[in-house]
Amino acid sequence: MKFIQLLETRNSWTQGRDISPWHHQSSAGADILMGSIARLSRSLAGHCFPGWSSLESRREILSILRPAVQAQRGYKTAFRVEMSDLDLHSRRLILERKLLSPCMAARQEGCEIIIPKKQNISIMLNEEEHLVIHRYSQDFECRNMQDQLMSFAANIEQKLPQGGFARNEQQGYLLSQPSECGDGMQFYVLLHLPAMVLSDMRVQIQRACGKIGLGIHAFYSDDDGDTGNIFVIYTQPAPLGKSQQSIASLERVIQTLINREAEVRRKLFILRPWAVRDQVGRALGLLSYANCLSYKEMADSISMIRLGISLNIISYDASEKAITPRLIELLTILAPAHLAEVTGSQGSPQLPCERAEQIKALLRELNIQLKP
Amino acid sequence: MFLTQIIDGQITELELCESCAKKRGLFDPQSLSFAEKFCPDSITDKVNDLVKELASNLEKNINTKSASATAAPTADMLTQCPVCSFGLEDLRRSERLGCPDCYSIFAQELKQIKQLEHPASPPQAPFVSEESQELKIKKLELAMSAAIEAENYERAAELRDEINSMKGPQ
Repeated sequence: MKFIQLLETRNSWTQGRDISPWHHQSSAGADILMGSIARLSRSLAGHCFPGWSSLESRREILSILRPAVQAQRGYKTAFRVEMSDLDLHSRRLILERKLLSPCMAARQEGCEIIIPKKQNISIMLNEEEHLVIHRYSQDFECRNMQDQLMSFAANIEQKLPQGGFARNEQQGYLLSQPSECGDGMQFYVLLHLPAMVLSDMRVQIQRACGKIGLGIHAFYSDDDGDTGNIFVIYTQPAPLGKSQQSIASLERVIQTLINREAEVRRKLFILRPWAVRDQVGRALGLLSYANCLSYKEMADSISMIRLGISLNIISYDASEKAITPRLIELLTILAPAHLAEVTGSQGSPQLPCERAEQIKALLRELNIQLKP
Repeated sequence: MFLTQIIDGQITELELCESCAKKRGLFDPQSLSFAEKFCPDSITDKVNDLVKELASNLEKNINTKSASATAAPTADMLTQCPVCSFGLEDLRRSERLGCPDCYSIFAQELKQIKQLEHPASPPQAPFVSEESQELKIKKLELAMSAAIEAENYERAAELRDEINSMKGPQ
C-alpha cells in the first residue's frame, strides 16, 4: 500500500464511519470513554537494543523481522516505509493519526513502520525495542487486545530464524530498560473529561493516578499546550505475569473516573446551569463566527460542544446518528498537517482561516444550535 | 568519600565509595568531624578497624585474582559487556542496557538499583540470566587471552578448542 492510499483510507479508530456501539449510545459514559491502546514490546536475543545499535545492526534486525511480519495474514500488502524515507510533513501526518509514537517519529535510517489498511494496528521496527506493536480500539478492550497481540507476537516469533525474543524465566521479556522487563505489555485508555477540567480537578486526578502507579497526560496537544480535555490514563509496563492485574486495576480506575465525570457533569448542570450554558455558548459562538481558528481553540470548543450534546443543551440535525464521531474526526482532519495536505499549502498563515471555514460549513450542515 | 586522619604526625588516608562508607557508618562528614572532636578515641579505633578490613579485603582479592587468572571471567569481573561493549558507566548514566546479554553481565548492579528503588522489598538472589552463545564465546575468548598473557599455553589451547567446537555447528 502506498502512502497516499493510507491517507485516503479513513482511520477506523480515531475517526471514520466504522463506529463501535459505544458511539451510538446516548449515556454519559459513551461520550467519556474514547478508546484504548495496547502496546507490546519485544527485543531479539543476541542483538543490541535499537538505542545502542549501529546502522548495520538495525538493518540486520529489519531483515530478520520484516519477513516475519509480512508472513502474517494481510501484511504482505500493508503500508511499509523506512523512517528515513518519510519527510517531516509525512511524519506529522502519521503522528496526527496517532499511528506513530513520538519516539519513532524522531527515528531515521534502519527503522520502519508497517500499518495495515484498517489502521487499527501499527508495527514499529527498531523503535525503543526491536518490535513494538500498538493495537487500537474504540472501546475498553485491553484483555482482548492483549490476547490478540500476544498470539500475533507468537506467530511472528515462529517465523524468526533462530533465538527468538530475548526472555528468561525470572524477568520475562528482556527490554532495553530493566524496569520495563516482564510481560512487555502496556495499556492506555482515552477519556474525555471536560466537566472535571471545568471544575479544576485535573491536578487532583493526576495526584490520584500517581499514587496508584498510573500515568496521565493530554492526548491532543500543540505548540500552545494541551487541548481538547482528552486524557490518556496509562499503566506502567507490567512485570512478569502481572498484566492481568494491571488491566484490572486500570479498569477500576477508569470506571471510577467515568462515574465521577458523569456525576460532576450532572452536578455542574444542576448547581451552575448558567455557567455551563455560558461555556457551551461561547464555544459554539467561536466556532460559528471566528474567521481564524487555531487548533487549540477548535479542540477546546469541540470538547465544550460535546459536553453540551451530552447535557442535552445543544440541538442538531436529528438525521445525523453519528454526531460525536464526526466531531472527534475534526480533531484529526483539521490538525495542522492534515489541513495543509488537503489545501496544499504547508505552513501557510491561511490555514487557521481554512479551518474556521470548514468548521462553519460543518455546523451549518449538522444544524448545531444552542437550545433556548 | 575521602577520609584523612593525622595522629602524631602519622597520616592515614582512606578512599571509599558512597555505599561502602555508609555500610561502615561513615555517612555524614559533619557528624564525623563532630565525633572526632569530642570522642577522638572511638574514631581512631574505627579508622584502624577500617584500615585492617580494607587491607585484608585487598589481600583476598589478590589471591582470588591470581587463582582465577586462567579461568573464564565471571560476570562480576566485567565492567563492559563483551557482546555489545556497553559499559557499567553507561548503565548508571542512562538506566538502560545495550543488549539482552547485559542482563547477566550487570546482574549485581541491576540488583542494587532494584534495592535502591524498592528498599522495602526483601533481598533477592542476584539475577542470573541465560547466557547467549555469543556471550559464552566472548567470555572464553577473554579467558584465552588471559591464559596467553599468563603463558599458560596448555590452558589457552584447551580454550581455543572449546571455542572452535562452539563455533563449529553454526
